[in-house]
Amino acid sequence: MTLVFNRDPPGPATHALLIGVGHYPHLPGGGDPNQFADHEGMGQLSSPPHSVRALAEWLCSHYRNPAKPLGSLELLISDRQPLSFAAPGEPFVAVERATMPTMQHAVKAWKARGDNNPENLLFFFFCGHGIASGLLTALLLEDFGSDTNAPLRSAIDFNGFYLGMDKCAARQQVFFVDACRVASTTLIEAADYKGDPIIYGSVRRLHPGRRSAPIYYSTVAGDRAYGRPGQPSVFAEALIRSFDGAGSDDAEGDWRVETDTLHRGISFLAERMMESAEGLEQVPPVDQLTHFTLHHLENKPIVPVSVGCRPRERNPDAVLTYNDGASETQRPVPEARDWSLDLPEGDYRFVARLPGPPLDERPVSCHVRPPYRRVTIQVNP
Amino acid sequence: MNRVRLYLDKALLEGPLPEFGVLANVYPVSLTQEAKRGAGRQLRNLILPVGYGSDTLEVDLDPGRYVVEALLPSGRVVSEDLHVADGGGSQTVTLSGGGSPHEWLSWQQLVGNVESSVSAYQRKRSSAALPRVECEASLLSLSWRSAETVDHKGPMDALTALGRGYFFASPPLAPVGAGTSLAQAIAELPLEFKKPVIAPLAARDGDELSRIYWLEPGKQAFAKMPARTYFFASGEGFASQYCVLPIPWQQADFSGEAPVQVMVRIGEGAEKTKMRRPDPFRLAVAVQDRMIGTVLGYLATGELPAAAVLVERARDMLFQKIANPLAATAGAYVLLASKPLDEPEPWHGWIKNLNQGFPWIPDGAIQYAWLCLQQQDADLDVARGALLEGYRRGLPYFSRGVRLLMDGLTLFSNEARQAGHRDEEVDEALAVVTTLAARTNMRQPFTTVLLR
Repeated sequence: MTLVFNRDPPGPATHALLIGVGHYPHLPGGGDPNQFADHEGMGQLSSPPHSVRALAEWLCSHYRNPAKPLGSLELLISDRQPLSFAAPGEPFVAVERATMPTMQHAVKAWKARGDNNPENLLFFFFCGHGIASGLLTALLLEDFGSDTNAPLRSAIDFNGFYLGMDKCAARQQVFFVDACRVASTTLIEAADYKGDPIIYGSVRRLHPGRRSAPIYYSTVAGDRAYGRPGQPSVFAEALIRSFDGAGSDDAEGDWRVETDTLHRGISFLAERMMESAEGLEQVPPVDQLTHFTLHHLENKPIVPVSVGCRPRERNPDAVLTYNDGASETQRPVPEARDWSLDLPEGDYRFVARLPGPPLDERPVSCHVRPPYRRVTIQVNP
Repeated sequence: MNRVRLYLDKALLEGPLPEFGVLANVYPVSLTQEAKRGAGRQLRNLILPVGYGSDTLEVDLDPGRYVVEALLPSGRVVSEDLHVADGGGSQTVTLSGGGSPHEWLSWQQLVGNVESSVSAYQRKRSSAALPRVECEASLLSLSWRSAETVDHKGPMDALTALGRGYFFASPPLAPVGAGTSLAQAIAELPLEFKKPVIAPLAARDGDELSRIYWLEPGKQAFAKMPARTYFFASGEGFASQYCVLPIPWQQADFSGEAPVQVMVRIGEGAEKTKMRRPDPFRLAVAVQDRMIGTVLGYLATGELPAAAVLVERARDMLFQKIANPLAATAGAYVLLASKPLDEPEPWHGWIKNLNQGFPWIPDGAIQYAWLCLQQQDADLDVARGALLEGYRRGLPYFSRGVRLLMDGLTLFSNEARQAGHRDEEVDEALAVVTTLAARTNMRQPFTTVLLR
C-alpha cells in the first residue's frame, strides 16, 4: 500500500486510487523467462507510469473541491524501474507495484476510507492494458500471464468491481479506465471467470441513497486507447486539461468541473490530440453518467478552440490571428488543418487574412467558453 | 425583453421532425458572477426543435450578449454567439446540426450513428485535394402496417452481397454460441419460431430483396404478443450479426406510426462511426419518433442527464396512456438511471405496469427487478423472480437491458455463493446472459449482437 498523501480531514473528503501498469514481465519485452504465449499482441507500455504521475501531481497541486478536499492519494505503479513519489511538502515514498496482491490490498483500504463518510468522493484511475468483449472489461495487472492456465487471475473484472463498489458507503464515486478494450479471445472464452472483482457485489442495500458513479472510458469497447512514448496517455492528458477548463461550467456562477461537462471536454480534447495520428482515432465514451461537481477552478477556464477558414482549402493561404483585446497573436505557419488553440474563457476577435490583391480580411468576434469552441471564418473559395 | 427564436437546422429528408429534439443552453456572457448564479439556471436544459425552422423554441432575453449551445445526441457540441440589442425586434438563432454524407442518412447522423460530412473531412486532413467523404451504407426504412412502405436507400448490390437478412420471430433467449457461420447461428435459435416467416418483400424499385422476409401480423408465436422481429446480416468479411427490431413503433405522441431505420454499414467507411474500428459491429437502428427519437441517441452515447431532461418533459405522454410500451420502456431506463429511488414516486408504478401489462417485453421485468433492488426494504424474492422472468421473456429490446440483466443475476449469484451454496437457476441464466453480453454492442440503444 502506497499512501503518498493522507490528511484525513474531519468532514467529507476525496480519496483517490491511481494505478499505472507499464511493465508486464510476462508479455513480450517484459524480461521474464516465463512468457505468456497467448498475449494477443500486447507488450510493454511506457505511458501508464507517466499518466499516473501527472494525474497525482495535478490532484496534489490543483484539485480543489471545498466540500470534499483531497483526503488521501494512493498509488500503484509498475514500471521497469522502481518509482518513488513525493506529494508537495511530503517526503518521497517508494511506490508499490501493481500486482494482484497489492491491488487487492489497496482497493480494500481505499473502500474502507470511503466507508468513513457517505459524503466522501472516491476517485479511481487505471492506466494499462485492458481487454474487452461487449459489455465485459478486464483490467490487466503486472502479473498478468504469470499463470498460463488461468491468466485472468491477474486481471480485475471491472464490471464486477464496479458492482461491488456499491457496497461502499461513499455515494459519489468516479471511475476512469484508460486502457485498450480490444476484443480478446481470452475473455470471450473465459465466460465463467472474467477476472477478480476484488469487492463482490451484493443484492442487499447496505447504504441509503443512490450511488452516483460515472465511468469514463478512454475508448469504446472493441477499440484501442493510445499512449505516447515517455508521456502521459492521450486520455490522461485530455482528462487533466479538461479539469483545467474544458470540462467546466458556470451554472452556479463560478467555474466548476461537473461530471457531465467533463465528458464533453475529454471527448473533444482526445479527438483533437489524435488529429496528428494519421488514420487513428480514439473516442472516449461514458457510462452511468450522473451530475455532480468534481472540482472548482481557481482561475478562468482554459478552453480548447479551433479556428479555420471555410472552405477549408483556403487554410494554407490564410494568415490567422486572434486578439484578446490586449494583443494580437498570429498563427506561426499557415497549415491545411484548423488552428488549435487553448485560450482563457473570454471575448476574442479572430481574423483570416488572405493574399490579394485586393487583400481579403475576414474578422469574426465571439465569446469562447467551455467545453470548446469551433470558430469558422467564411472566405471566398 | 426581446423574443429570440432558436432551432437546430437539420435537413431530415423524410418522416416526422423531432419535436423534442436536442438539449440546449443559453449562456449570458456579460453578467457578473453573482448575476450568473441567478440567471444561469433559467436558461439551461432547454429543448430545441430540429428541422427547417418552421418550429422554433421562443425565449425572452434581456439585452446583452449570449452564447447559445446545443448538445447533439452524437455527443457533439455546437454553439453560436447572440447579441440582443436594446429595443431590438425578434431574432432567430440557427444552430447547425451538420451535414450528412447522404441526405437519407440524416437521421442516422443526428443520433450519432454516422459522422457528419464535416467530421469525416476533418479526419482526412489532406492538405492537397479535398477528399470525397466516403460513407458506404444501406438503409432500410421499416413500417409495420404495409409492406409497400418499406423502402431502401444506398447501393442495392451491397444489401444483396450481405448474404442474408431475415426478419423472424424468436422470443426465447437462446445461448449465442461461438458460431462460425450464420447458418449455424440461426440453427442454434429455436426453429419453431421461424415458421411464421412468409413471403419475401419487394423493394420499391422492383429489385427483389429476396433475403428480407416479413412476419405477417397475426401469425405471432404467442397469441397475445406482437411478433418479435430481428434483422440478420452476414457476408464476406462481415461478421454475422443481428439486432432487435423495435417494430411496431407508434409515435409516443399518438401521431401515428414512426419509421424504424436499420442501417448496415459496409466497406471501409463503416468504421467511422460510434461503432469504431476495429469493432466489427455494422448494424444501427434508429427510430424516427418525434418525442423520443433523440432520447435513444443520448441513451446510446451515455448522455443520461440530457436524456433525462427530455424524458422528464415527455413523461406524462410516455407513461399515462402508453401509446407505445417500447417508448415507455426507453423512458423508464432513463428514469431508473437518473432519478432518486429511495422514496416512492408515481413512475415506480408505471414500471410495475410495464412489467405486468406487456409480458412480451423482457425489459419491463428487468426494470421492475432493479426498481425492487433499489428500494430500502427490497423484496429480494420479487426482484430475483422478476429478473428470471425477464430472462425467460427473451432477448431484451434494449442493450441496457442486457447489462442490467447480467448485473442483477451477478448480484444474486454472488449472494448465493457468499451464503455457501449455488443458485442454479440464476447461474444457468447468468451463463447465457454473460455470453450474450460479451457480444452486445453497448453503443446501440437496441440490442445488437455479434456472432463470432
